[in-house]
Amino acid sequence: MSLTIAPDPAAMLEAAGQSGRHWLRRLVERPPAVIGLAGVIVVVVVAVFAPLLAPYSPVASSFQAVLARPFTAGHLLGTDELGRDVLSRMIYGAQPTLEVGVLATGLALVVGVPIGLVSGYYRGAADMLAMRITDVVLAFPFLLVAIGLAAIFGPSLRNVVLALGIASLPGFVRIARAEAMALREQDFVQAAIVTGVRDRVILFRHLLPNMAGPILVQATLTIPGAILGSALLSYLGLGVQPPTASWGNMLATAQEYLFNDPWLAVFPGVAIFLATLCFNLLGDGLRDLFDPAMR
Amino acid sequence: MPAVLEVDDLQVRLFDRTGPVLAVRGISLSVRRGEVVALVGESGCGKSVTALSLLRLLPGDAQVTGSVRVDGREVLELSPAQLRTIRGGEVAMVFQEPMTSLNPAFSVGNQIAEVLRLHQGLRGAQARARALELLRMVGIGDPEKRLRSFPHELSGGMRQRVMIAMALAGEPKLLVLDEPTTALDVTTQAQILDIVRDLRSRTGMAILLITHDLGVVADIADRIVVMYAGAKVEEADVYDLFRAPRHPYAAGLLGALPGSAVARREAGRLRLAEIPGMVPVLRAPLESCAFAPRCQRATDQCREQPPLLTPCGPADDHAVACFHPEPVATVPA
Amino acid sequence: MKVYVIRRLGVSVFTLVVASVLVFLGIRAVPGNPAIALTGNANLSPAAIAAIEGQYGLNKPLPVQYADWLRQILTGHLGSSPVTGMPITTELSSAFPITVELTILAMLIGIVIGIPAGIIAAVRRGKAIDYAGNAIALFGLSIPSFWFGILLILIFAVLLRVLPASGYVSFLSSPGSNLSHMVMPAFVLGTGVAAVLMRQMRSGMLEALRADYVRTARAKGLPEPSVVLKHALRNSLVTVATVIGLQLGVLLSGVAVTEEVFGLPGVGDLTINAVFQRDYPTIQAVALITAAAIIVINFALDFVYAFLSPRVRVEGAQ
Repeated sequence: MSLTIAPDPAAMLEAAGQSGRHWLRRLVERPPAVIGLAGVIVVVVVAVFAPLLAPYSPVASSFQAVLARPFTAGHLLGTDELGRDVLSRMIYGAQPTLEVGVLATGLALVVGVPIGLVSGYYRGAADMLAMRITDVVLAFPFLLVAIGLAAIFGPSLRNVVLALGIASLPGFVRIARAEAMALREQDFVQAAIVTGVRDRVILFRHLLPNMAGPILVQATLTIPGAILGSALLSYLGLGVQPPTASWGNMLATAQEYLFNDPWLAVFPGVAIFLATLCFNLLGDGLRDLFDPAMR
Repeated sequence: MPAVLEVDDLQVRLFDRTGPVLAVRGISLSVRRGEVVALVGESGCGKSVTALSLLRLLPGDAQVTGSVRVDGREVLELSPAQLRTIRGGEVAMVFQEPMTSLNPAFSVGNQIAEVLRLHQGLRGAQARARALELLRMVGIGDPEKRLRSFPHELSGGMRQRVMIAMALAGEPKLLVLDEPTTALDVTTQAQILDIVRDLRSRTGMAILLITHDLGVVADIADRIVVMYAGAKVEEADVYDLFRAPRHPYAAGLLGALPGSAVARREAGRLRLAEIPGMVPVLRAPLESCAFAPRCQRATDQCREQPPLLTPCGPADDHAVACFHPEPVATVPA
Repeated sequence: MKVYVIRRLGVSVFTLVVASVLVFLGIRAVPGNPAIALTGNANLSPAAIAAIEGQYGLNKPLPVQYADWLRQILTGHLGSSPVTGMPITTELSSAFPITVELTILAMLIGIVIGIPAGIIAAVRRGKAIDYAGNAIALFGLSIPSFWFGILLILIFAVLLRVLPASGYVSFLSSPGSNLSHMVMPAFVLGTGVAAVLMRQMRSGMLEALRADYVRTARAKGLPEPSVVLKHALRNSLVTVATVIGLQLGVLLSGVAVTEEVFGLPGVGDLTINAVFQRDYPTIQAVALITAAAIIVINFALDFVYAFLSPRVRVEGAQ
């Protein structure tokens, strides 16, 4: 792939909104974004191919090798308090983390974008309603929502997704609303309105595709927040339940062994940190593409 | 009479995403005390860049060479502290966009008082009294109330009056008006121009008026400098230029003026709207006349070498940069 | 301004009512009989259930129950915890100061670091300090607060032994000891707040520095610090105030988990323990108070917003 720069600034700006091939190509020109993208791909590959990559079962205990130090007894990252292979648990632990990040963001996007779209396009009563919904959502910290759901339904991955999805909702509503309000005033939309194109067609054919960029950026920047949130809930015991491994619940157990076996607390933390960092790098890179002035 | 502003061979190179842009290519002009000079050209011709470079208000990466002297002091070589005494003090500017040029977070009084404090050393009641006086001077009714107003509470014309009052607060020797009426409706335009005309006769300050609209300058300016693609193409007394423009571009600008003699006589032949193309963005020095691609008089000579500014016509202050500077004879309007 | 205040007040009250209805209905969504949920006793006889239903008015229609419940709360009766048997108001009054202290310290650290860092990065855009600031902010944004807390405990409590690993001492009984317990948790939360504020401040400032009124300020002859700290800052703080409002929920969630990491007996710790002990009345009380606190803070932020952006005072916050 050749890395030529488009010669004309106007064409470059246009490319940012229009051509899919061009923005991907230009994303690749930014080292931080490339690192982020590579890291994201690694996390996805590890999560998807965990059974093939993990040297041991993530739940198989071995009481001959409890709390083995890293690089000993055939365990690259050592073993935990039940003699389970830490590396294998780390590999499997990528699954719930990624799952929550993606599903919670997807939920917020699928619910939030239509709300924002309708409220920004119609304004008036629809807008009032949407704003009041986000006010109410903002009044409840995601932890409290997760606690409430756990109290009602018992702790589960589904609750974590729901809690983080609800908490991420206002961001998508705001973006879609602002974009819809701005696009509504543009000539091609006004022309469509005047010529009597049906609202449904205007909303989904004219408005939605033209706000894809900012929504993609919002999504990429929501995933790391959801990953952190899911690790936090899982650390508190409100997420995936043991013995299933998640980076968050591995940390919770590790804290009990902090004095003698601190490495147990290092690996899962580094994994959460790096996964979050990579999504943030990718999201920042994408945002710079769509809004170069903020770079 | 000595010149308040003397610009000599000003060159400005700006940088956009793709590289350098030659925004101003060797502009020289002077404005004397009590004189109104109009700098005229289409948008993109470099006239606003020229204005901004007078106070070094261009982005940090802009390369400015040549000379800008205010009262004999070289602005381009001043230290930041010295420069601040010139900015808003000896030279004040009014910008094109009254809607965005005032800070939305501060009251009108606050923003005027800033200048009074910096350049006049006035504070408290004194500053307030002077601010009221300035607002009255620019024709703002109920100045006590307006002092407490925020910009969003004022109309566009009102805001532009505030901008002018703010500019006058520093008692400048030179007032630079950068398209002061472009964003306003016709009635308001006329009122603002009346204020400028009044100021000129009352204070005798030098005024540099930047505009794309020859109609605006017809009865205010003493001299006109016509710019195209970053260079001066014609300079003349306002009467001479309106009577007989030499450069085809100047004639074109006049032709765009509704009801002007040229418009009537030329019957649209020279109207800018009918000259294909736009002001070019120059990235390298030209080996031809910049206007040649849009010019009906263009010959091979125009396409092979750039014309130099040369004196022409009966008046000694009339100069044009054109190989075919036939005057377009007009009947005085 | 008056119209603006009344409108924002109306919105806040409405939000508060909806939030309280959600909290009220939440506890009734717990599987099984609400009497069991409220008392925490699963082995009640039908007669005992009937008695409790009578006592709590659970046999009345839902709207009546809601009105009764609301009246009780407004008169300061939050009920008592079925687990500890103590009045919830007592438990909250000992937990609340801890959480408030931690939140305020974290906000202070965040503001003191984040706002100047954002301004400097914007003013020195594209320079080394801008890149360094951005990189640090990105780290602060990506690091899980509870893990960061664990690392600090590992370094300062386990290895260096200069700070206590966990626990709480009230400020009044020993200010020095109180601060030594608070410094790590406040720093952990503060860095997260600083990262968010720095990024927001930077982008708000970049936008403001491009504005025409900044050019006007320079053309007036104002020194650069005045241009940046008066003209540009005031306008860019508007976006920062908005972000603080949006981030409150995330911050308070972070406060709760940090209390857990450092063994601070604050509201977060109280709530997390409550959920594992099925102490529904406590969860209900905390949920309501937290929502009310966030709504009140957002109402206060509306005033900050109006102060920063005079236009809002007239036209309303749209």
